[in-house]
Amino acid sequence: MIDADEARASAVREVRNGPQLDDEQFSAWRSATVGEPQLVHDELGQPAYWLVPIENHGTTVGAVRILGSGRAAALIAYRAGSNVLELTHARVLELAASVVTDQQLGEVLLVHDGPPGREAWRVEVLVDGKLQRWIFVTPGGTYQRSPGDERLASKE
Amino acid sequence: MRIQLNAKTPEPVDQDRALAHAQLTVRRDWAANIHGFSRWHQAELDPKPLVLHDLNGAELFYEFTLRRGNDAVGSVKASASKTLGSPVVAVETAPRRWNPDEATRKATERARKQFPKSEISNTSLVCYGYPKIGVRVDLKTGDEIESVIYDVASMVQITRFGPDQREGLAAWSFYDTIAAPRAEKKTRQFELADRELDEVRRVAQDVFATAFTDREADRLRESLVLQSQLAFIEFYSSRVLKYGPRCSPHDCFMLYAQQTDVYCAVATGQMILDFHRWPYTQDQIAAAMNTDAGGTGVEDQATGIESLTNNSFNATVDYSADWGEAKAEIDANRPLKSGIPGHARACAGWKRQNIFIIGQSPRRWLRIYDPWPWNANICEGGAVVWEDWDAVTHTNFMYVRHA
Repeated sequence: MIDADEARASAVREVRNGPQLDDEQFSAWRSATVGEPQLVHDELGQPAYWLVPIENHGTTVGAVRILGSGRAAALIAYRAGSNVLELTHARVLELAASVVTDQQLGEVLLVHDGPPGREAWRVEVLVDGKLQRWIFVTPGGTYQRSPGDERLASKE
Repeated sequence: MRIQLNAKTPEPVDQDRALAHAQLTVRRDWAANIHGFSRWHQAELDPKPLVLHDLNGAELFYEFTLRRGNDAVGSVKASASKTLGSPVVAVETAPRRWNPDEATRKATERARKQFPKSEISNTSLVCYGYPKIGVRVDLKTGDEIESVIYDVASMVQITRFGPDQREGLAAWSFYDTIAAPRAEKKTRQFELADRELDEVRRVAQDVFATAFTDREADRLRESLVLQSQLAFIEFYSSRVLKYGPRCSPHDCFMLYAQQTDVYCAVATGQMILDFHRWPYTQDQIAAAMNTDAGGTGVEDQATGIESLTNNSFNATVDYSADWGEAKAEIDANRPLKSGIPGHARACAGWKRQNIFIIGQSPRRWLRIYDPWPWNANICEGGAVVWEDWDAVTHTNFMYVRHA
């Protein structure tokens, strides 16, 4: 797995030469800068890939998905309500807390829930110190699931 | 286990030729800034390869060691036969973790103890179940010759044979299982690579020179980029969906977010249906697609699309998704659904590199309208994505066409 600096360098190369250059949907990427890479984890909590934010005047306008090998897998243009990276740790906890009552919140992790690209912040809900379920926080809202209740691969 | 020991190598490649292919591969991986290759312009391939045999005894790979100074820093497995298709099968960016001489010595000792009445007539390195390597020890007992194989790392004897065995320590022939079924096509593919090698030799001999300084390397990198002699060739080809084919058609596809965390197929259906002027809400589409709390079945998506269009459209699921098929669909100005494991998105464009590093495949992308992240407001959430085709696992396409 490449480190954050290599992921950033890979994203810079891709932004300079990538397929988005003449795409109006990516017009906000012109004169944008590359931000701090965020590590995205799989369902087991293992590092899966990097999401490198693309920033323009302080706003995250998109991201580049960089695989562990350094390959740029996707260039993503965000719009309102798309940017999972805009959610701060405190905001994630605040949104998660709004849907639980007495339970305690545990680890917060940026994951892909399903295939790469379905990013969400996963917050542990603990009862008596044991994991009871997860709350997934996205810019559009939250949803919940119990461990072991994974989505079927046959369903989309 | 009695196996044929002396099969001839089909369509053999001589070692010098294999070395040149290995050199070109190493140089172009470095030139392309591939991770792990950044200092490889200072490394050289040892021209004397390790010869790895197939289970049938034929030469299969020449493994060239890559050295920087006296240190081995990697290795390149080049094909010993044109029937393998690709001149280079694998590049390792780390030193070999086993010692061929040591492995052969241990295997010989083990065989001698295990078969004290037999005479050891020969030893060789064998790729017994790609990429696993073993030492084959040939044993002569009277007029009979039999052989045993020991894994080079664990020295475990390999006792299961055949590609249908469970994965693990089973042996199978690379030639019989992988090369032979498509040997003719693969040989043609190899010959194309051979022609390309000759062309590189003609225009950029430096590629095969030894040891570069950093400054020389910059010049070398430039020579590895294919220069088009036709100035009008664009760096990329691409196409996105348009509104109609006449006059000055504008781009025409709209991103909708999925309204719940399981409505990806529903939102994808909505994007495609709207394009064809069949407007429905996501709840209506979910009902037609039989969507439940776990999402939507792939075939149910097709059934739903057809019923919502009064069967004026056919929705066809293709489980062998291929970039060329997506391109053909976009060229026909039709959006399609792109499935990845557990997720559905719409595809509304393609792009392909026309100018690229010699020997590498051109990069290809799809313009994906991803309904994730979900959002109750379909005009927020979701994302437009240029997705590298070769970096993503694809499970299916669904084509929606007029009946």
